[in-house]
Amino acid sequence: MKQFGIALLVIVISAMGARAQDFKMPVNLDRLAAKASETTEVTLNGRMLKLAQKFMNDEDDAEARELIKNLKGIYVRSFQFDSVGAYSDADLEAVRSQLKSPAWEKVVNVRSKTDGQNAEIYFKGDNPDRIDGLVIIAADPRELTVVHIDGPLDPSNIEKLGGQFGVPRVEAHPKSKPAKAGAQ
Amino acid sequence: MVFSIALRFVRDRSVAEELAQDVFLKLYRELPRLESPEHVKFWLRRVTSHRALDYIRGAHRRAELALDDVPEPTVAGKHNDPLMERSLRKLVSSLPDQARAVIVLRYQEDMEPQEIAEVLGIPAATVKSRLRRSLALLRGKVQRLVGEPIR
Amino acid sequence: MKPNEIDEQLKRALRRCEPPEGFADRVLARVEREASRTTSRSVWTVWRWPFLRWAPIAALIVIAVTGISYQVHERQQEAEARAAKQQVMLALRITGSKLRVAKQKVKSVEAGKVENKL
Repeated sequence: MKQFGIALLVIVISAMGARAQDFKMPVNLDRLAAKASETTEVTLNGRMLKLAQKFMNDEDDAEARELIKNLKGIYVRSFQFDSVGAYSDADLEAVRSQLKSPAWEKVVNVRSKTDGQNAEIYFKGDNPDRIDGLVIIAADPRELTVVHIDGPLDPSNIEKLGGQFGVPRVEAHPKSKPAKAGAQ
Repeated sequence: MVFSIALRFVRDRSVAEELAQDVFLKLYRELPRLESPEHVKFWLRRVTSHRALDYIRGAHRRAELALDDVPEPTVAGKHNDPLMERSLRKLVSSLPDQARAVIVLRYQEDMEPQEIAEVLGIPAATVKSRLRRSLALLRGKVQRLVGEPIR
Repeated sequence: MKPNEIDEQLKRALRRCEPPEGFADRVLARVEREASRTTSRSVWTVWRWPFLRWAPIAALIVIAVTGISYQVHERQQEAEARAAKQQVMLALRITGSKLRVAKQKVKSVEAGKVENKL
């Protein structure tokens, strides 16, 4: 038993050297809370997700539990503003700059000049059977939402995300080209 | 990770090594109770931070640092400005202990404010305000160094 | 200077420092010394300390106290788990709604392209 403990310790010591190039919610986004009429913040690391699963034993929770079972984190920052122009592209630069690395692929990029609703979706990883991370930037004139799901996610679960909790299902195309919209 | 956190907090290599050894010794005793690799990582960060902060409080270390005393990373980064990085490291080392702890956990360990709050056992709002104030302080000092505004 | 450059500079400046050479060996040496000391002490203790006759009562007290602490801890964990679950459901709802909006937008774009071609 002691030998096992020592061996485990060796693994831990060597593993602690590595530093992952992970996406992190930039601190500057929190400054927008001061300007927002409504703010929603969710920060759930792996430990909190495991804790949540202990309380998700009902049949209604089964899909959600399945979805989150291997996740390392879920992070949401959502701000609603009373007026247009409360945030700028520069505020989102700290988010987008992290997603320019080769590990991330932009799979959806929709920009609408008519209603000003813009959406970007990024997937992490190059395994077609698995998504290692998901970032959504939903930028509307009076609302900004950034979602980060730290994977792994089964691509078929992306559909369930859209279909669960009272909203219609969404198809998953992890390797599709970005869809761009000009003026509509 | 453990050694690096300890070093940035206590700013003394031999003390940092001793602290890091103590932490791993404690980990050896606690391992059966830890549930997952993430739990181990969280535990290591928390225990290292607390031990380092306890050491600093006990030692009342407020001495001015020579540039040579500031911990240097082992591997050079890409696109780096070595002089700016050294200056920044010295500025971070000169921050008050609690503020330095928050900055190190945020930028060395890439931790979210909520995670930092859990590790240090303080409210997330306190973490965020310390981050904001420390960044403003660092920005101002760097600006005076280079003579142009930094955002 | 670009926005948030201080963030990038701090990340670069505060990259991790590696421990000195031989650090892992020194840690393991300490752990092995501790491991062998613990084994010999446990054998020695049983025969050496007379107050151990009070051990069963002390053990009962420890168990009672630990049991109470454990219940408090359990209740706290339960509250934390309940709150975490609510947060999970909220996050999934928000994510789902944003994915749906993106999907609708993509569909409109594709429908527009088809219309233009016709």
